[in-house]
Amino acid sequence: MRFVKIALAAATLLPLTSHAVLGGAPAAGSSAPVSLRATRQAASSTASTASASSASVATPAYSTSAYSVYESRDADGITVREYVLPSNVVFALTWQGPVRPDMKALLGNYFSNFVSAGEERLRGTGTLIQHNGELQIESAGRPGHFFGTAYLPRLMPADLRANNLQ
Amino acid sequence: MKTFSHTLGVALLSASVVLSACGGGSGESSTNSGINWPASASWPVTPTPPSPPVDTSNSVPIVVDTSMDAVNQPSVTVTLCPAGAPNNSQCVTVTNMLVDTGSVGVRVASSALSPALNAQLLTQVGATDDKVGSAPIVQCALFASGFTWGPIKRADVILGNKKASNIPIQVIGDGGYTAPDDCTSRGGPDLGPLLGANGNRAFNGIVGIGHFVRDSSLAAKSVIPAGYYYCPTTDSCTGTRVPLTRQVMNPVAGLATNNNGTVIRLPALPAGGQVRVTGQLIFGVGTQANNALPANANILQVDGNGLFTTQYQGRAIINSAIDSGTNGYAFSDATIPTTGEWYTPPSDQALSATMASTNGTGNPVMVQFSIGNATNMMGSGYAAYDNLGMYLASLPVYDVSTNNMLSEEGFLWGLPFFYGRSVYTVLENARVGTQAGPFVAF
Repeated sequence: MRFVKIALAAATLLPLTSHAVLGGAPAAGSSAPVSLRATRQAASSTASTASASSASVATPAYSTSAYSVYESRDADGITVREYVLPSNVVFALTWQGPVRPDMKALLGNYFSNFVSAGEERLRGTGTLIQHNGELQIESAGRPGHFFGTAYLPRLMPADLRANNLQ
Repeated sequence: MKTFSHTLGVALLSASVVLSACGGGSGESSTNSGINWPASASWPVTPTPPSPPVDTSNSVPIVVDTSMDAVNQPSVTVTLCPAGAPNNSQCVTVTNMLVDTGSVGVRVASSALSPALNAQLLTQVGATDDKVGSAPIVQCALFASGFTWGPIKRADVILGNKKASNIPIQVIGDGGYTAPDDCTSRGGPDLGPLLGANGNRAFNGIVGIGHFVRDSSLAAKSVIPAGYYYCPTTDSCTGTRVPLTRQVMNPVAGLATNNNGTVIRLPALPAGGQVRVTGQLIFGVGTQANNALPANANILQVDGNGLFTTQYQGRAIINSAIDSGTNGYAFSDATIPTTGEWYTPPSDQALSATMASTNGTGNPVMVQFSIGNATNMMGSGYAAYDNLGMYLASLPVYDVSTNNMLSEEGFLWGLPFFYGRSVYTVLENARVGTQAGPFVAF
């Protein structure tokens, strides 16, 4: 819960536009300095143990040598997680909440890929999955509960898909 | 069973009234095959009842064909009329309305209605935060695949022989109001331009028959972004709460009888799929002979979003639903090859997963299913496939507070699951026998 509280505190201070943009640097409010992240334990079996006392900014929810995960939760109850490379570039996003987050702010220039993925052909009301092209996106859920993933395969750490949930 | 028998009796009684009212019933009422009368039923009239005529006036045909512009999209025909119209002269019958157990309410493309009907539909006003109270209510309805934008209107919605009188519906793409930025930025793809006639194909709208009576309990309590708006002028819309009674309504809940849920009954498919499938959308569950919930039915309680938990390969996936609006099995299995969004294994994969209510009530249900090569099967150009799957990925996330793996993973049992089954979608606040809704059963 400590982390969640930090994230909530950070979220309330930040306008929505301060979210990370896919393919760019994470937002100042949701990212720790690179040097701070670099000192985190790079272990795949244990989560980093961020504590409230050691950080005045949000710290990664999870960190490996290949990437870090930052989480924020806004006033509407939407949780957004940003997957950040050591080079400080966001290569993936996930979201979950009662409505979709501001996808234009999160995806930046890739927002148009999301729109065209859905508008190029009809697929009913259900899951939108687009695995062709530079942006891969999976938009799922139903009114009241949405979740999804967007990522840039060219920036994806090699072992992430293969280690799916391992 | 007592409640059930009572309900059945009442239903039969009312059914006979309906039948006589329509002059002896339709031609469809001649068959009663497949009906299992409860062995313990105590008939008030005679111990050896003659086969009673089966009342099918509570059902409409479901069609799965290529006219919906996508595979595995079940549709029904709906007639829309001005609320309270004295006759049917202003009504418009709209085909190709997607049957969607994943959403609530009727949403129809403006282009599928006549100009006269567009003009006759009553404007829904009275948003909670509209101090004047006379501004039209307009909705940004979010779906996984995008959004629909348009005003809320009141209409009589006729499904076969049944009518939902004076219920709020959404008219999509009437051009009357400009979608606000927070609708388009959260909605993403605008489904409006995709709806309506497209050559000899059409997708004219959605009949949302999910577990809930109204569209959004959340929007009744708080202003949510990309939700309901009130629009005093065509280009100034403000987010608002909307009382439940003024929200888009589940048309099944608006019926006078048979209003506690639905049964979707589709036939099993041959290997390789089928060019066209017809089945039934039946109104009511346990209210009359053709919608009885079998004693051995698998029952899954669902949560406030219509979701339950699916366990697949050791993972408990809480974002799980049986959803007629999703056209394949959507889940994550990194061992199956994909092409684009679709699974394309070299040979059919026999898989299984276990469904259970997230709150732990009831019994888990193991379900076996098959995933075939989407590229190969869709080469036939058919509309219906029962082994179509898509890769719904997930990314690993830890919660540092609990050291637990979290997951945005989902497992959607789309239309392939419905073939060869009767799927019961029971509404909130409804009760079938001793079982309280909302639940899904099959």
